[in-house]
Amino acid sequence: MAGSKVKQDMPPPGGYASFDYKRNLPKRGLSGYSMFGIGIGIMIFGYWRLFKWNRERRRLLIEDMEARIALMPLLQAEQDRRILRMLRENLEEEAIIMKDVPGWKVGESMFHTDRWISPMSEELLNLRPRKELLQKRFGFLWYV
Amino acid sequence: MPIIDLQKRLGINLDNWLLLQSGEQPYKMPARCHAFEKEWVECSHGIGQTRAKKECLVEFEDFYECMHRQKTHARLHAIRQQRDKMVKEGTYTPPPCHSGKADQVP
Repeated sequence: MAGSKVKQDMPPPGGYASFDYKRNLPKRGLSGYSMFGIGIGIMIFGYWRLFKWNRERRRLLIEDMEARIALMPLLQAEQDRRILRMLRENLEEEAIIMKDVPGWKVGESMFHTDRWISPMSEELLNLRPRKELLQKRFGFLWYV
Repeated sequence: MPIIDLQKRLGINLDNWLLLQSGEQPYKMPARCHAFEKEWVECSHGIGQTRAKKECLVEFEDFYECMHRQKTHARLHAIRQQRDKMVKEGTYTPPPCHSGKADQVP
């Protein structure tokens, strides 16, 4: 290889300027412990708020239950009157309908005891259109 | 009634809670035939099965009727049949409380 004057691509005179090539991982941000601390602090604050609101909900629930308890005699009395009225109507209609049937005792109880036995919906709604019985039994759904 | 009441001796309650309707219920909700079953069990406790079948027949029949309501249903069916027959013959018209929309005032 002769050292003659060949045009080569050489660095500029004085060399290149220096640039930083070393790793640059600056320490920044919070430390790990403090991040944990902030997280746990937020969680504790959330729990505190939740428990407070749960206590408030419990108080509201107790208020609702007490309102229901206060209204219960009225609603029970209304329902009792309604049931008795329906039983009375059924009894009178039965007397009219079955007067030609031999050996029929009107208003006969099917039990040997003479306690009060709550009537079934079939007994109450016997002489009404069947739609009412179906509505009473299946009209309200507990599930969604 | 049982010969060795193992569960009562050990003080555990493995299946007694589900044997009787009249037993201890959750939320204290009584069964529909609680009274009838209680009476039947009280009547037939201690005496053997043969005697219980004879002596507690009334209570048992009441309990059975409460559970299945066979006699009630048969009676209601008979009333309905007779009413339909009379309506077809034209001798009976249902009163307004028994047909269609009546005033639901208690």
